[in-house]
Amino acid sequence: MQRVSQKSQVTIFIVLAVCLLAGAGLFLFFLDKEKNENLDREEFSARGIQPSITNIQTFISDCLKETTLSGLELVGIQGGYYQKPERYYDLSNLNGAFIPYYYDQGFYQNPSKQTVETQLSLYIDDALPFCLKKIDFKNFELTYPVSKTKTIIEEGKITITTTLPLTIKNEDKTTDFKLQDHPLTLESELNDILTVADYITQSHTEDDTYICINCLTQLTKEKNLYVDFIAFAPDTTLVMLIENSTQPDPYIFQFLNRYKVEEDKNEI
Amino acid sequence: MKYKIIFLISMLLFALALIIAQGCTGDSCTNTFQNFGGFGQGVLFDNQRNQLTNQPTNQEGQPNSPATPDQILQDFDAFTNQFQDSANKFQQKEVDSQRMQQQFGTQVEGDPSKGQWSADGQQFNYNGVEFDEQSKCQGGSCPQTQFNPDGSVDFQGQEGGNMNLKSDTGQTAFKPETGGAGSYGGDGGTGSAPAGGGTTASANPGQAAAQGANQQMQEVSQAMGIVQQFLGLFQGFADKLAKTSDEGTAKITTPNQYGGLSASIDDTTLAYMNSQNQVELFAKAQAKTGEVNTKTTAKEITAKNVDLTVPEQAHLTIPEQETTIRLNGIKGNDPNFREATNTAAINSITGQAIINGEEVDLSQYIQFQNHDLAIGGKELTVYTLKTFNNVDAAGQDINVISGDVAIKFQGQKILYPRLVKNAPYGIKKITNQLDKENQYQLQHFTNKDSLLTDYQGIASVGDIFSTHPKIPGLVIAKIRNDMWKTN
Repeated sequence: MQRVSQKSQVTIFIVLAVCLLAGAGLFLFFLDKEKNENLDREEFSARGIQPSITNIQTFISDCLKETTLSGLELVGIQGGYYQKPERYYDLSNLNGAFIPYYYDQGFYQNPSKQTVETQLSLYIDDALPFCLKKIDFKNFELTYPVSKTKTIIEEGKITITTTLPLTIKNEDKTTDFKLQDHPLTLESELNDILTVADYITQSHTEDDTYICINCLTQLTKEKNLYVDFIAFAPDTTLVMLIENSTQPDPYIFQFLNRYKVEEDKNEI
Repeated sequence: MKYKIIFLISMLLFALALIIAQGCTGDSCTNTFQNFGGFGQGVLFDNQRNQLTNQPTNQEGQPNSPATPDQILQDFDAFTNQFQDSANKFQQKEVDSQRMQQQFGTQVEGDPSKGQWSADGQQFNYNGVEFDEQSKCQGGSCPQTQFNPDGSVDFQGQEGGNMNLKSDTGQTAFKPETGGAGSYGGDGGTGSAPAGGGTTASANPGQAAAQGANQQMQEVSQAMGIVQQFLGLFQGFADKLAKTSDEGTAKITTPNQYGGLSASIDDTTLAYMNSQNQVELFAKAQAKTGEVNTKTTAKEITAKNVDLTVPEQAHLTIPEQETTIRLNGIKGNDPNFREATNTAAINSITGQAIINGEEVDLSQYIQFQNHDLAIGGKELTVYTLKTFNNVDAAGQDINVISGDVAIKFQGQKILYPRLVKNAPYGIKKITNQLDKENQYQLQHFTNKDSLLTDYQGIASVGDIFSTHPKIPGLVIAKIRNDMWKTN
């Protein structure tokens, strides 16, 4: 049996120790990198951490998601509109928000799905630059033109494709980033909400005084939604559609219906 | 003997002269009295003024004597122009009881002299209560008729089913007004949910209607009071119908196919009372002749073309289709279903699918059972005057109305007002028998208009709301608050 010298044994232990240290170092390095990549824009700013190009690209995509979510909320509150339609009620205490009249004494103003898609796209194109401006880090400079967004509302989801070629300058290095190559898909019941809203509105053509409440209940239930008719004014009802399955908070979509009220009118 | 013969010949000649004077030709006479031999007791002679009269005493208070034939002949023009009617009525009084027995098969008691025979002698009308050939009773179960001093008529059948008819100035059986805001109560801004999510200034468009309902209840009470005034006269009758208006006519036949009484009514109102002399309902004729039939076999009536008021329960509009109304309801609200001051809780239930083509009983019926109401058929309207625990309906053009809120049943559909309105009487569970999956509760409030919710919490219509938990500028239905609390 060959005997290993004491010197050789020490060498082996030293090599093993070096390997262990190197491994631990590498692990900590990648762990930190991954951790940084998971940080959002605000955390980078708050911690004073310098982001990577990859981080910046993530921030840009995050901006699209953030803007889309706020747009969804706004067009929900504003009944599918971003821009004021012909007839609306001003929510003066809510930053200039409004609620559209879908039915106003015989006048119909409910938006089509295409209109809502367009309105949401317009909002994103208007609001996205405000988010991109917040990607403000030393040594990084973003340049981009006006974006062009296309929204597609489908069963259970919406897809946002924003055409926006960005240039990211990092000291002497320039990187191109095309946002259109990173379309955003979000879980959303907006398609079903619009279906129910359309049912409520179009049912006025059959009877503008009464609604088939069990038809509406059944439809709303099948769409996994909720519907509330709330007294808004003596002649106006606030219709609120709520979904509580795709987002942390319930999603509200609302609009108004205004009616002719005749005194002493016998409803029968 | 000789004098007797001379007297008889004289009377015959007088009678012949009288008939000729009144224009009788053949079998037809222009007046209707039957036995003029007794007219002298209907026409009197005032010896002080030496003239015919129908007053029992003269100016000095001395009694006038029955006019003799000679006295009548002395002033025959006055007799024909002024006193013939009195004579006729007296004649009728004498012969009505016997004649009615013969002609209509009814045993008569009391004084029917306020009645009038038709010109052809085929009908007898007593304050709007008509007797004619159709009223004729045959067989052994003929009713007994009593003409009362107050102008009312009692009928009592031999096999149950009793009826009282009375002329009076009362009125009832009205349709509650369901006007819009301010129809009674003036301006009262409707409860609204302005975007600010402020508190509701309560507003009550249906307050007016509630006042209207109160007014109507008062009228019901008045009518009931009128009925009660004469109820005391007829204690002991099992069931009664009372005519509560001077106007119009009511024709009674008995027994009907159910062993009870049948009333055919035109432009008038009847009150139907139970054996405890409690008014079970009022029946008012619509434009067409209405019909009400009582039953001795069940606490039911059948009716058509009438508006019915079941005191403290509901007002019903019954169409041309004969409708069965069961009167087993309990007056007043169920103490377990109170007015709310906030929002009602929603209990989930396991539902079934919409029933397509399900066979349901679409016969015409309205059933009051304790605090429940079941309606079937078509063109039926029920105005609730109390809360109900269960309202089940199946059919077409069925309306259930609480204050300003009208709930319509059209086949499988339940139609509900798009505007939030006041409902003074709630309904714990509303079911369309053709869609048992979706059931609703209509909650009434002390300070709000109403809240309709389905039992699965999917839909609501009401003025019960609160501010959005996270966006203060918005409002949400209050029943949705828990959605945010759990997230």
